[in-house]
Amino acid sequence: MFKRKANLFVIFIAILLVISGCGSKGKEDAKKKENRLVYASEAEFEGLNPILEETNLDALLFRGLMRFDENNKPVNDIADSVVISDDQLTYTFKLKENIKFHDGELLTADDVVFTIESILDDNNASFLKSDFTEVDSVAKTDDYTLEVKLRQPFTPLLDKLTAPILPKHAFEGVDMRTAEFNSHPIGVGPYMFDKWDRGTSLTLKAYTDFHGTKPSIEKVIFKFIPDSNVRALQLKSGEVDIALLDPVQVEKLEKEKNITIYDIESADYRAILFNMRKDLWKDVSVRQAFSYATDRAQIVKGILKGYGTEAYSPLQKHAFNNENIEKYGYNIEKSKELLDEAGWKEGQDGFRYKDGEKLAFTITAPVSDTVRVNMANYVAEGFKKIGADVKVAALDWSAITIEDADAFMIGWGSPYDADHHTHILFHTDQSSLTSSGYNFGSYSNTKIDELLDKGRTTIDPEERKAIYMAFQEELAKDPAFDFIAYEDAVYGINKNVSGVKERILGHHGSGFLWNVEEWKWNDR
Amino acid sequence: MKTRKSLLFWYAILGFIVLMTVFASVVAPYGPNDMNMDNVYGAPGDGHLLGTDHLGRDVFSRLLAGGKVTLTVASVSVLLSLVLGVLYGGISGYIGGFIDTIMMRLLEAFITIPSLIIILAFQTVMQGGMWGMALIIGLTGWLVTARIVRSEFLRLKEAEFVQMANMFGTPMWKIIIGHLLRNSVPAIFVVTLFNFAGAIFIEVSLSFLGIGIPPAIPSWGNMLYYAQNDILIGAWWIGLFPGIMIFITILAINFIGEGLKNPQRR
Amino acid sequence: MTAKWIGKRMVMGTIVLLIVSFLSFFIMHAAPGDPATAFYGGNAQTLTTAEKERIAQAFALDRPVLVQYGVWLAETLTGNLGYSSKEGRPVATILMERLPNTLLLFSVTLFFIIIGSIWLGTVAGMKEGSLWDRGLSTFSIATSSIPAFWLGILFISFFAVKLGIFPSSGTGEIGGDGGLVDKLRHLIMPAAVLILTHVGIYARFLQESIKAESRHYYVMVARANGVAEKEIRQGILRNASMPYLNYIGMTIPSFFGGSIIVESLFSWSGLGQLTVKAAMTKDFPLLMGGILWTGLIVVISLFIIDLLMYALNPKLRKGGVR
Repeated sequence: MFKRKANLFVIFIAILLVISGCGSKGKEDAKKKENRLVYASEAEFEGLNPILEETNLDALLFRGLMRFDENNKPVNDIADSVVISDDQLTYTFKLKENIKFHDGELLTADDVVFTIESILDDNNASFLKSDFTEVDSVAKTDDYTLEVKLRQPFTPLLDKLTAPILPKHAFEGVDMRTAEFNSHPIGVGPYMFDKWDRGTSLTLKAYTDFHGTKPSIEKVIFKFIPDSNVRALQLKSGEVDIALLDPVQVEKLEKEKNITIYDIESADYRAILFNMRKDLWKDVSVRQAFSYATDRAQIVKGILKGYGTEAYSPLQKHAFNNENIEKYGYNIEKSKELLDEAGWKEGQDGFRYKDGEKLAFTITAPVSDTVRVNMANYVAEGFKKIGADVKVAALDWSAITIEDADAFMIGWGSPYDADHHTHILFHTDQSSLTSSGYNFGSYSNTKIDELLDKGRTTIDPEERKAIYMAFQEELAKDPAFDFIAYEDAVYGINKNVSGVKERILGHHGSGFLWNVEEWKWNDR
Repeated sequence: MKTRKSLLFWYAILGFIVLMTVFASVVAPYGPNDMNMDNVYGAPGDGHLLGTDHLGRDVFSRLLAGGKVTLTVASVSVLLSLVLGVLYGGISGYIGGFIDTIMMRLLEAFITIPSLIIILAFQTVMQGGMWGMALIIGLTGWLVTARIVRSEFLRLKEAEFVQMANMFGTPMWKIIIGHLLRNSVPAIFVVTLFNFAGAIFIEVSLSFLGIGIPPAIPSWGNMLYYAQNDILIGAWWIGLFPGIMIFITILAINFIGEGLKNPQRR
Repeated sequence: MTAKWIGKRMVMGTIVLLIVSFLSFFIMHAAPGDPATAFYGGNAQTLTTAEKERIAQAFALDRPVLVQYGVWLAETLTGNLGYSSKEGRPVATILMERLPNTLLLFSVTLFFIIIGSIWLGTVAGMKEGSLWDRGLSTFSIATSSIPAFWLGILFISFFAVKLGIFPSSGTGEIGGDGGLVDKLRHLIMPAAVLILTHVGIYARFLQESIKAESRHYYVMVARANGVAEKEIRQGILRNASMPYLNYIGMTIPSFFGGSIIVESLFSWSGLGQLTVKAAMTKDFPLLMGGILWTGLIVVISLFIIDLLMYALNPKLRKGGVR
């Protein structure tokens, strides 16, 4: 009787082994044939409405009047031509005819007007709203012509009009925030929505009526893998074809025969956001002291493994970069001096105190982003040298409320117009408490506000440059962030994919897929 | 004879581990949080006996400091569950009858709930530090102790010497402490030992999931949590050594427990 | 008799579930924000004041906590577990998606653990003093001292990273047909880890009971009377199976705890991984649902084991209740 059971056991194991054997072969054969691209996505999205939430699918599903080219300059896309009036207040767009949405409806001037009006509608709380506040009116002249009128000259407008165009007919009689569209989007991009397995993956398929280069790869799948380690593993095993890598993983993956590494410069920086609602940060010299106590060179070396540069300004990768501002080089002595002057005196336990209060705060960081957690841990340990008791809270994104954190390990940066990711981050009116802006720390500085307002309404490039140089200088004097480092976007891609075009990337390597319709499999 | 020798061996091992971790601050060559960006992912040897981790921290020093945390949490929680278990089991066993039945039914119900789930839930709401963790593990770990104490008490209550003491009018507390409790000590000791191993498992597991002890405090579980990221890079030493330490510690406890349990049974 | 016995077991299971449900309710109560909005998750933000009032009334929020618990329990019993605060979908739907995976892992591992431990345990137990006998004792202590997730890490680094034979995580290929073969390939590593770390102790328990049983007087008598060795063995095993089954029942809760961690490590999308994720993201409605369902599964498995024991043991059947 027991013999029989033992045999059964052996047979079961044998079956499992056979299954595993066939499985691995069968899988590879199947994959060879399938013309699809699997992208390891760091996070899942709540919805896919591009004016409510920014995702890295936007470039695939949607197109705007304009589109950024290889040099991050806006060029015509849905727009066939643009005429700008002499007073810089009226933009007349002629649209390409015969562009069809994924559901077959024609794209007309009505859709463009609807999109801009939706962005401006407060009920929708679009994060793009601040980009369009200078727009006075939008009106169509005929089905394929429209006019955008401005209150005052607004130079970045063409940049902003890369905003995705929504189909008006999909929102008839529904509330945008809860529309069916958000989980089943319709655009005019090279890929259209196929299916969304919540928690697992999202599949897009090639859109054959696309108005630009017809895509060669049939399906693009976004597989949600929050753990960077798993992303790298699956890239190695061929389960995914593209993944954004952590710097420490690069050395190992470089040796893999089936992977090409793209080390792409990006405008993506990491910084410690000072939450100005916390009393500690009200004193500018305390903020400066912590900036001096941040050892950026070591972070770039040890955590970024050289895939990055030390940061001092939000516009460092921009043509308007100001190299002559305070860079807060690592200087413990200076930092201590500043704290002494500010009244934070060292106590017997080695920590500083002021009015009986300990110099202590917590840096919050998203737990899934290993690089940010490492940076937070490293600076927290380093801050002990100046007598600060700093803790790190590594939490899940959904458990984080930046507005409630003492300090947050933030990441921003944009390769586009200087107005992008500056106005929305540092302008008083963009406080995330009172608007849909991204000023999470409620930073407020009237001089900064003025400069940012002036920057977006000035036309002459030289004049603008001077304004943004001044802005950087002022921001360095009254820091909103303790800038740490710019992080290169290092992507690992299956060797057989060709057509990748590099350009300076944005936040979190976003935009890497910008020309995916031109990508090809060499072997499929 | 042979059992005693091996028992002694495991005592020595466990004692060594405990001593090393208690005197971590003296023995460890580096501070557990000393970071060195010039030596990230350093392989074992070369000034760092067991290598360095992703922030250039010395794995050996962290192993000792982490052990201190892990073992402290386990010890505190076990003490707590010991007290609770003896109280609950003692009352139930001593009083007996209807109350015993009720208390045991309740205990049976509690035992069927996976304690890890309860701890998980508590952690989410309380989000305590090291001591909170010890408290929660202790609060959920007393069930088996209670059961053992109760059955020992029931058994001993019927024993002749207890009956005799009753007859002579020995005060109740004297009977409970002097006779019942004292004679249950071997059994309680064994179950406490296994509880200790269980508490280590729970701390390590929860910290590994990232919802145990706050990550800034090194513990064996936390070290393993970070080690997940290092597998791919080939930094095997970061995950291997904490695992081995946990393994050996629990192994020693289990062997000691078995060694103490067996003579009794035969 | 049987009906009474079953009834008693059912009452026991219900008490367990009541305790679990009370715990769940306590968590929701301790969670930030009021319970009603916690119940409606992320959708709470979109509720209007009138709706909120209606909810407050429906949940008896102005009444004592115990009444609230009762109202909530009634709602839960109808299957309404609320909405996930992260995904906005009904908790019951999400749990339902994950249930098959957990049951698959649970049953496959338990199957192999039982088969394996019976095999090892009888071989070792029947030959007292043999190498098998002593070897198994050491083996079982050693394997049960290994943290399952650590063994999992070692497995991943060896089989997935180094050799690349098995997928490191997940439940199946994406975009695949979701076929059985694919699923089994993903199942092998988590199952192997669970089996390896558990089979030893179960085998050892059986071994000990067989040894204890063999020393009984009736075995000696049977042998002396020339009863066939095969029959004696069967007799011993039948008698030893009682405490063995009981032991399985006793350890199922902790076994379940272990599988939660293994599920998380291998991203096996089952209830355990879901519960851990809910805890990390502070998705309270989902967490509560996960806890409740886990409790339910444990209670049901215990009930099945009890039934088995009842069927196998004539004494229980006739002699009434333990």
